Amino acid sequence: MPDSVQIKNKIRRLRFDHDEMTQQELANLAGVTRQTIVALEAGRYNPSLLLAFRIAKTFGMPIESVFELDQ
Amino acid sequence: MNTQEKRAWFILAVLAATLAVYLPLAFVTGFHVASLGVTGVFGLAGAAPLIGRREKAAGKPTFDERDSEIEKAATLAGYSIFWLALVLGIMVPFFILGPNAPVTIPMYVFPMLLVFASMIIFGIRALVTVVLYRRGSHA
Repeated sequence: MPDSVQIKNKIRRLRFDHDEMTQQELANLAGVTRQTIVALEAGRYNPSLLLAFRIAKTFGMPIESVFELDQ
Repeated sequence: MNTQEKRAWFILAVLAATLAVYLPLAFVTGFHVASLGVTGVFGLAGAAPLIGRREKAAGKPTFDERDSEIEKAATLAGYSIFWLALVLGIMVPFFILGPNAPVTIPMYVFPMLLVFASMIIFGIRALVTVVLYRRGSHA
């Protein structure tokens, strides 16, 4: 798979759907820094599978509802 | 700004301060060996891990997988550049002076190599850290 493939996500939208959860709150729940959430939302970072699962679990959704390949 | 980024900026600031003190002194003294003593200022970089202790004590995550990836890439860059400098530092005199040239190296050069190696490794590592935090994907 080429390196240029990015993973799109709906984190920003889902945060707002979950009582306007802040980036810091999501970061604390997912066990990462707020800057990583910022980078994820901006599409500047592809998360590991573990982190993707943790974020999806935080929103109570399957992973494919939060992340998808941007082809 | 991330804790790792703050530490990287701190190291770059210490490196800049060290060079700002050392270079003028070296020129004024005609690169006298005593001027090398001020490179000890770079030892202040050892205080970098103190940055971010408050956030850690507050229970906030201060280091995650993205930080780990950036740290690995930056460390690799730091050691790679050091290796390149070491190879050039050894091979360039070899090719210029020839294989049988008698060379006398004063003993103070050896500990100074450690100081300059630290400057290269930690300086490049800090620089790459700052660049990677501001750039795109690290995965």
